[in-house]
Amino acid sequence: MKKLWIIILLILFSCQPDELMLVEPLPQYEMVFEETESSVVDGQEISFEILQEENHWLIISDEETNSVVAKESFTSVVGINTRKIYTKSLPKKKLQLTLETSTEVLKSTYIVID
Amino acid sequence: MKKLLYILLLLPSLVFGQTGAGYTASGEGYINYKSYKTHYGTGASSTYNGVTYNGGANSTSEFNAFVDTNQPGTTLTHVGQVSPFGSTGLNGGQPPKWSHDYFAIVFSGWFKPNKSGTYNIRTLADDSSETRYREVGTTTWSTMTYQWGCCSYVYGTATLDNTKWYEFEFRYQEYTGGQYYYFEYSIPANSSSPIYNRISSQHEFGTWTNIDPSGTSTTTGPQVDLDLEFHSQLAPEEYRFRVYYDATSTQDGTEWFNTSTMNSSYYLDDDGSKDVTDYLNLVKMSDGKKATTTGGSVEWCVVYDYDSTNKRYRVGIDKREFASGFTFTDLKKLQLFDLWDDEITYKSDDQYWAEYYIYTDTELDFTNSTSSTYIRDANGFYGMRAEFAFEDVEIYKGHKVSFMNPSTNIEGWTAEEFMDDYITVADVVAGFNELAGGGINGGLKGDLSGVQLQNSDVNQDGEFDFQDSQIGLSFLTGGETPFNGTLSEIMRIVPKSEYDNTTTTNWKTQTNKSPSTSFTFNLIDTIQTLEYKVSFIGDVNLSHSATQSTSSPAVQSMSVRNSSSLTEKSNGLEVLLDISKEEDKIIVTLDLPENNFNLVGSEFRIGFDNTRLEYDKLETNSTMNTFDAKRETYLKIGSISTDGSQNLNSGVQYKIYFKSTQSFDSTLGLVSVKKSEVVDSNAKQIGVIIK
Repeated sequence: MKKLWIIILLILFSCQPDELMLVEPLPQYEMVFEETESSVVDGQEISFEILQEENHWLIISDEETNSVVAKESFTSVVGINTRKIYTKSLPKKKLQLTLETSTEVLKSTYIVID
Repeated sequence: MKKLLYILLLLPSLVFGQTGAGYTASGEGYINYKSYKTHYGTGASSTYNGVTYNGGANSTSEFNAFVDTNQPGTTLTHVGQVSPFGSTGLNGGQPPKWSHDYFAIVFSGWFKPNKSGTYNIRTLADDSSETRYREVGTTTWSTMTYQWGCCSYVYGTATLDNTKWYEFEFRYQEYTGGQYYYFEYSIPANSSSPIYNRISSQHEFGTWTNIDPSGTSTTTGPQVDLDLEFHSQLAPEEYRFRVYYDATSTQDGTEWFNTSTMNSSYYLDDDGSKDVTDYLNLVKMSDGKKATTTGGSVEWCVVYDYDSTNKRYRVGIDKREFASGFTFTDLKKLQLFDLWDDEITYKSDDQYWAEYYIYTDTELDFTNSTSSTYIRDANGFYGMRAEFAFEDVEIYKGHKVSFMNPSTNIEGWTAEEFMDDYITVADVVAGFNELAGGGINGGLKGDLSGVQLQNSDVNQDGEFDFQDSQIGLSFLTGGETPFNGTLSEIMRIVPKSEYDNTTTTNWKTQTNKSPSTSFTFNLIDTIQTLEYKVSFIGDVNLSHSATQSTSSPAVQSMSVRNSSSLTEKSNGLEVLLDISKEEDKIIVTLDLPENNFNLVGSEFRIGFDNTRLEYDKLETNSTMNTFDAKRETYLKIGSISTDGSQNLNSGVQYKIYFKSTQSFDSTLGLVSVKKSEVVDSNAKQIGVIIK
């Protein structure tokens, strides 16, 4: 009889619903400067971390001509910043992308425009 | 599925093994064949130039008409090679053919018999046949057997030397009913009592080949290699072409057919070369007649004394030597003893004589001719005791290589953008400089080479003048131009020797100074390398055109040195770029600093995303002629002083405004600086770095 009670209690407890923990998904960032080279498509978001709030430039250059092809100035926020890159007007080749302030080049990588 | 596999396996032979595409002769163990559809394929008679064939062949000349592709009822349907020993060869006569009725087959090649002496020959054919041969180096056919009609053994002999090669032509034709051809022989040892062997791999008769054994040529047919030299800026492998042959019976170039029935096109290799042998049409066509002569007893021919004014001989041939119905204008070649063996030109004919001209700068040597016993010097003319025979002359059809617009294989390629690449402010300044450089007496400055002058004659009127430079300026600044955006308006493909020898004195009279995307050539039975250089109309500074060879002194002394100096960039000028966003506008600012380069021209190409932006306006503080030429996805902006009276020494700022058609948080890549160029008063480019 004692065993029966144990079995009944086990059945009762095992039939209770589980408590589910809902976890917020972490945002996914394309940390472009963490790669040495990446392909980009039109309208793609690129992210990077900034440590100090000041005016920054994203600059796209062509190493063959040693010239700037395109640039964008923006006021950054401390932490992860996300910008879009449009490729339709860019030459279809491998280009250099840099993150700069008025005084120094902070980060650099290569992007390939197909 | 089984049927599909069968079709796939059959396809290569259908496409390449038969008509038109040609084949590579394998030599020993093979003979050539040609298959013709005759009688229109219906049994109808055919007439060409007064010669008619009808039903079965009744003579050699009628058989000639059966296989004359000028005859409207005759079509060459198949060419190729077969073994002489099998049913597709001389043991059956069944190579590929269009159908089982109304056809003619011609086997050809060379043989060397196993034995010397007199062979007995017999052939069996349905319907008419002719089996003939001639010693290599001779011109007259000897007949082994022939049959006009159907269908029993016919007999003949051939006295042969087993150290010699003989050319042969065995042919038969079929009207309706059965169809076959068999070649049989009896060796000389059995000549008194022939024992016939039908040709087979056990009874070879001799050595057979379809490569000329005379050793005068290392190839059995034409081999053509293209070699096009482009500027190093360009990628030859992006250029695609088709190969055509002249489809007209008169070879006048008015109708061209692709040599490939699939209308195929081909790419150049990345060095600009291509072996196009496999793309040629090697089917020959009839091109009139050739007369051959042997010594005889009657003076059927007269040759009048040399006309040193016109550098020619007048030759009369008695009309009785020609077959009835002969078209005298068809006689295009003459072998007259050992005096002449080349082309002749029809002059006239009357009741008794057909007359022709032999054009030659060198007089014929009648005195030392090996046939001098047949030649009588009659003081004013020579009487020739010559017997005439006539044979068909066959030639290869004319060919053409024609390049296609790269837009057919390069996405987004346009002639306009290509021209924007090579007709820049530097070209326009160079053109105006050359025109203004002659001083108060006018004329040209003398900086440009012959090829550069040809490229500068943009309106193709044979002169380089201000009209041309104005067109160049108009193109640069976005105005009206005579160009409609096709490669055929701008590309020049020039034979290498002509290109390299074009000078400032002969540039107007050179054959290939006008734009063309094609060139023609004739086939010959040997290897040909067709060397061309590629240039472009409007490319004054040769930035995208092949360079001239320095082998020509006239070229070396002036043009190459100057043309290269126009495209060499020196020093460096830093231009500051800023791209900003103000409300719904994207503003591109280019600041060219103060300098002492005496710049008379500047050009910047600004790319923009035309799905998100619209070009609005250009603002500048330049006092020079400023331009903004809008293209679909980019803008050309800049300044030019065509007379060199102004310069950009005090610097200049360009502000280019774009309106956005949607809202943006980011602007990176919406606009870009794609190209930049500045040029000084000597048309010399100064290097630019965008910062």
